[in-house]
Amino acid sequence: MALNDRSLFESLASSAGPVVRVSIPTSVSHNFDAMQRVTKQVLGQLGCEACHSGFDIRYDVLREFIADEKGNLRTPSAR
Amino acid sequence: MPLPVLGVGIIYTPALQPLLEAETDLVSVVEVEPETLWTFTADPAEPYQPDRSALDRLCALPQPKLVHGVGFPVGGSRPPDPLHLPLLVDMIDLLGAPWASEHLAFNRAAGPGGSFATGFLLPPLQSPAGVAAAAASIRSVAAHLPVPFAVETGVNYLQPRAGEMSDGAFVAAVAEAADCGIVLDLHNLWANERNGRQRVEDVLAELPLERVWEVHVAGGSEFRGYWLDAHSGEVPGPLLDLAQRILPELPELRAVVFEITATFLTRLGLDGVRRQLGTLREVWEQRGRSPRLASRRRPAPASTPSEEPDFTPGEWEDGLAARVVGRPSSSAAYDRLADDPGVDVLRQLVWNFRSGVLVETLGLTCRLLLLHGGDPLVRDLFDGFFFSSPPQLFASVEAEAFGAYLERRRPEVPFLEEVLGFERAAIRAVLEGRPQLVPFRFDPASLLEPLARGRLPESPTPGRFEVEVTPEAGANHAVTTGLISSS
Repeated sequence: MALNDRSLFESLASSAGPVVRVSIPTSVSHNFDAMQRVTKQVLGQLGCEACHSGFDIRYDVLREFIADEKGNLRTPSAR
Repeated sequence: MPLPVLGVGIIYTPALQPLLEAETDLVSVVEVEPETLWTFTADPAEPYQPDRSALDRLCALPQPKLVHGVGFPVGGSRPPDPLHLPLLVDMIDLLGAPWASEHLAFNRAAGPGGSFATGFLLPPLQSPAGVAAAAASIRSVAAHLPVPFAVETGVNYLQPRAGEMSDGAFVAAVAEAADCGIVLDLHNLWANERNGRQRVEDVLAELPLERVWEVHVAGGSEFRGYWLDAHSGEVPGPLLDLAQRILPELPELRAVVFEITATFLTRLGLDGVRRQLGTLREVWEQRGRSPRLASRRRPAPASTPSEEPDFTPGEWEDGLAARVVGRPSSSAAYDRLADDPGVDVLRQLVWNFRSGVLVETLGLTCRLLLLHGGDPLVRDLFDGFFFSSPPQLFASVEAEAFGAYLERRRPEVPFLEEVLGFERAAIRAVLEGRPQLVPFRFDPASLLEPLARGRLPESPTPGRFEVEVTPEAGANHAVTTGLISSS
């Protein structure tokens, strides 16, 4: 399956079966956890970045977030 | 008309909203970085659009506002994109800013493939030709603004070069030639001194201190033996001492602004911000009390030793940018910078900055990649993307470019199509202001919720699903989702 949204969409649409609308309580796409929610509210997500000339730690913060208490990433093998 | 005296303030981020609304005695002025509230559109006539809901919240704050640009610096030989000026003027008018400022730096260059962004504010060529280029760039912006314009003294991680103008002499000459104000960033100057450049006291001795309307202070951090202007916490004690000595010498000082990035704001906390601002208010009370040094300093410009290098300001910008971004260049400056250890520092900072943007904009996608392949996979993908594509000024454009890169490279990561498609659709929904449909081959909740908790999805429920991602009115970059499924 291609990564292209449209080709995937068209492929699915051509298959058989009824389509049923389902509502879910999740109201915000990035609202699945506290870390993501806070970050999205604090930073200008899509515009220019705020000014600083230092070390950007956001990738490190992400790595820390998904590491367990032993420092291992939460991959299946680490569980 | 004299500029108003504003007092002690802070750079705006939404997380500060409770403090700004409730404690007007503590925060006297709010400085707004306008481009952080803009998005980039596909409309060539009006490529920049403001976040109206964010602007409404800003306007409702009781404090006076200042406008401090971060996207269109004025220190280089190429004037910034004039298409940003109408929106900048609109924001100055809307916020009632009594003056505006930008950085004495550059963030665009040219190479074999055309113009590209540097992904970082870089130091201009400190030569007489560099002075003329920066002054022309400043005037090209200032002429369109309804208020006075100032430039910020920048951080510079490069070693001093033989024959270049000193940091103080360069800023002084630019400010005089452009007839503009100065935002004296004390943390930048302090970092420069710690990293081997001119002493702060010597810089100040060369500056026209009566042009300093505003002072910036911040915290920083160590990295590979360099002190970085990271805006990462409290103002260091020695820098506070420096501010206490310097503020009395600034006869036209109107504001002192504390800078901290949103990432580190969560670590310092609002109580930490309160303490910091309280300390700065005590320093503020010392302002302009002994401007004797302002009158006795000011060496004649002719006393500054400097010589023109054998490359132009534009060639300097192209060579430095190529070094930092990792692109080819035929500029003579490119070769001269080969041995400067500051270039490697800048290169690493750009890498981290770009990775931070992607983690921010495509958070679930990056989690999936990290959980599936670990740090080696993510670094390999980031390296490949950064090598193939120069930085972008706007985070949404950088995210879309990375999405397209993943689409081409097709790493074998389960569920990547769905997760990446979902996040790209969310960005498009915000930018285009209309709903986006995303197909899923699994129950979206069973894919996305584990990722949000930092876990790989396990046995997600298969089926035919579509997620409708809709921009949410009044919420900053928020979207709502609804599901259409057949299972």
